Amino acid sequence: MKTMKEKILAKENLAPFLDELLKTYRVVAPVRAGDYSLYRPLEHGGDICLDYLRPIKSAKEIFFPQNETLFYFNKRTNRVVASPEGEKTTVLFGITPCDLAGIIAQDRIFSSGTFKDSYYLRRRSQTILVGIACPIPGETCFCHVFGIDRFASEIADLFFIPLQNRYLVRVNTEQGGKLVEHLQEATEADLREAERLAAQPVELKEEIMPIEELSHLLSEEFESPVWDDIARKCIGCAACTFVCPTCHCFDITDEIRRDIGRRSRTWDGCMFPMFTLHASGHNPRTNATQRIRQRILHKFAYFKDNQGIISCTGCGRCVDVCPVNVDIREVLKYLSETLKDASKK
Amino acid sequence: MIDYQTEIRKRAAELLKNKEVAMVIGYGAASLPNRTMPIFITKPEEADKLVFNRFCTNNLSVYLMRLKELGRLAIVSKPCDVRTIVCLIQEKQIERQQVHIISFACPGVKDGDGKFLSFVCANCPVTTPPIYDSLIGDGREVKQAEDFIDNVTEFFSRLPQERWEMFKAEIAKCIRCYACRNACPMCYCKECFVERALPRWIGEGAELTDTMIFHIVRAIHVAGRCGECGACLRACPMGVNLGPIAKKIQEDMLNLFRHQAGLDPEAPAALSTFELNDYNDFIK
Amino acid sequence: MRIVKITVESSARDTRTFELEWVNPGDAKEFHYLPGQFAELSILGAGEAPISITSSPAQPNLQFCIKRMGAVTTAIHHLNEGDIIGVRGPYGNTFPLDAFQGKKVLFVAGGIGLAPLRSLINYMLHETHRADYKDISILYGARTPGDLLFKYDLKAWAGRPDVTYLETVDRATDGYAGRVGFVPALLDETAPKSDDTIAVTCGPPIMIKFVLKGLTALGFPPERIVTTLEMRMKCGIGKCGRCNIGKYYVCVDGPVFTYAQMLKMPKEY
Repeated sequence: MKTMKEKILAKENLAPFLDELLKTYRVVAPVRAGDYSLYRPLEHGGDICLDYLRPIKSAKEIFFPQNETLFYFNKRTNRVVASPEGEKTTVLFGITPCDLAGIIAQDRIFSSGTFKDSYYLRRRSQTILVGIACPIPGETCFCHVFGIDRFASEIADLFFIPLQNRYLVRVNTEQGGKLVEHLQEATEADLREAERLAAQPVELKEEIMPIEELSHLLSEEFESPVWDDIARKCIGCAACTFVCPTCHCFDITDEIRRDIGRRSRTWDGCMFPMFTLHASGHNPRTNATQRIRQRILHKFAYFKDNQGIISCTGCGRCVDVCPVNVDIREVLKYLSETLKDASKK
Repeated sequence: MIDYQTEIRKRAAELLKNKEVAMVIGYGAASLPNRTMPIFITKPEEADKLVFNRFCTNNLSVYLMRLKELGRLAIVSKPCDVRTIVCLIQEKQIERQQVHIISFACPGVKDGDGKFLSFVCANCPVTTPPIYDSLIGDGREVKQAEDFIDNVTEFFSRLPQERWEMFKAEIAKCIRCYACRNACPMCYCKECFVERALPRWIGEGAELTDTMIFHIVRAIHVAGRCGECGACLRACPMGVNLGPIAKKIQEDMLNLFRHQAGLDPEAPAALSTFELNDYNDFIK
Repeated sequence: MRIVKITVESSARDTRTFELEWVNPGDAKEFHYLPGQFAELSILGAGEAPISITSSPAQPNLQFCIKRMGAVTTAIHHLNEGDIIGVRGPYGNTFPLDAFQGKKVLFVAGGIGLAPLRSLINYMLHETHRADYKDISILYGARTPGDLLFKYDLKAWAGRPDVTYLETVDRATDGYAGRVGFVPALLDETAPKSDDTIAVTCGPPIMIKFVLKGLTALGFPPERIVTTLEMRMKCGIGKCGRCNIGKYYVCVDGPVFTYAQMLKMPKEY
């Protein structure tokens, strides 16, 4: 991985380093929230909490908030006012590799095609991405299936690798480099320790599935009964959708009180029955089977067709939160076995 | 000491073999430790997939509404789950003969790492099934070894301002994924009030006041119908705990209207009846 | 844009055509559309609705034919001439005009499905374009005579020697002297020849289902059957995911699709 240079930051200096950044930037990082962590704006460098494997929600809400005002309006005067621009540049610190991969997917959908999503892109351009390596994958993690490197990232401006008592900081862009200009340069020994860490064999929970092959087979098996089997226990909530780094569907609604109101967009999910409901009452997807099929085909086949990458980063959050243990790893394994048998016949 | 799992598997296999039911809804092994998951079996030889352990936390009654068209259904139910089935019968959503209830006296289930009894179970008022078709074990109340935690009294003994802050703090965690609502067997409305656009009762997104209204209204909608099974609390991905408030409403139903949900399938639904001596001190 | 004219199209008064002019005339230069496209109409406080453009590009003003269905369309129906509606667009793809050149064109429409086709019909019938197309036939039906839309255009089309216009209603009411029967039945009876013809159809999903069968039976290959699909849309620009079907987004890759393309799509519309 070609980088501009490498720096070193002692772990005990992380909080002061963040405090220094806070003088100029808004800093968002994982913060403790009860039994888990969330990406939240820091008030002090010491608020940061890297004790948890990954925050329970992904980093997408920094660029694609759950609720975002598009504009305010006065219905009587027909006056429309855009919501105010963001303030300072944001440093998003401590982004896990799975979440960085999620940002790549969100970038694709919001900036592709004739129309670009200016709201997302504005926030994105105002944010400096600082990733952090993930030495030991979690119980439900399967990012390796998608070829995600847990020790490097192509889109992070800076990438921190936790060593013995310090972080190795890989500098990938100039704007990232500015944040760490004053830090000490890394030594050969530091680099070697990082390489050793990355090379350490880790027991991977899932054997690698041939995900490219599966992606191709999936679209052809639209009518297969496997979808019924998978959907039977799904209760149709959006827990998986909302914690997912790559899910991006949204709704646009108006709220008004007397004359003043706003138009905003909010997260939505194809798992909700009302998602495809027409005003006429016709609904192309009336049952759970159709909806779960759509979600899986969209993430693993259609998105790949349109954007060139699979819309899943293997972060495992959906597996953690599903109330009925719909485990996408089991689903993918089951699908690939069933589809392989069917195609052989 | 009988082995509940073996008995349940035996019973399920019998029911399917004799074609007494079209499907058995029960618990199966999950892909994660300390969990089980809902499974649906239709053949006697699949009965060995059924498991029974202290992690059978889901309320499987939630599937009855969507599967009842398949025919008669057998369902493995904890006593709290049975209460929700009784409520569905009372509300004429399913018929008594449509379900074959496999139940047992419940020692309580465990959440998380399995060290402690789930706090939902810690003050469970109904530990034996109010009705059943197949009883596993002798049905005698199982004494709970763990401490009884009365989280309702504790919560409501605090000052209103403090309760309000605690309530706000819980609501702030909510991401409006509706896992709580969807896991609840009593939330079977085809169109939930949050989905209505004409009129729009509450906005989408996680605006704090909207989210408060969602939870308050949902709690009131299940007043007198809640089986106190905890499915809502367990389903929540963010750990929102509105348990004390939900429980308080059920206690109020008991204290004010002498009604406890889900005990008698012949009884009318609580909020659609009145008695002349009902509490009405609020009418001034 | 400002509403300059509201025409009540149906006897139930639930379908109206709104003719809009630009509040700022300069905006007209920015809005170039061709038949098949739609725009997002915006009512502040109610929301947005994607509505196909029913006027033909030759006209100076935009026309939208709107059936009162939900929150936004109801709000639009409460407006009067002189009121303002927000418009953004044009979005979506267009009817493949090149493919129609030199061909015979058969339109099969039901109910409000005529609205997007009307844009194409009037475009083709316009004196500058008429010579590009050969025979034009229009088969149109509605539930009752009161639901027949654009009666002024229907009369004009029927009166033209270079257009064959056939009409039907599902159910007659007093005073109606025309044909009674469903649109697919009218198609089967008329049995138009498929050689050198492109068929364009739009209507309720159930009608389209039978019309596609009928057209196929008459020998129309899937590439020569064109329709405009309706899925629930929100953003209109391929971002919100609502209209996603297979790898297509109806608001970007459609709403105009050939039957050949639809055969490749998952069966959920």
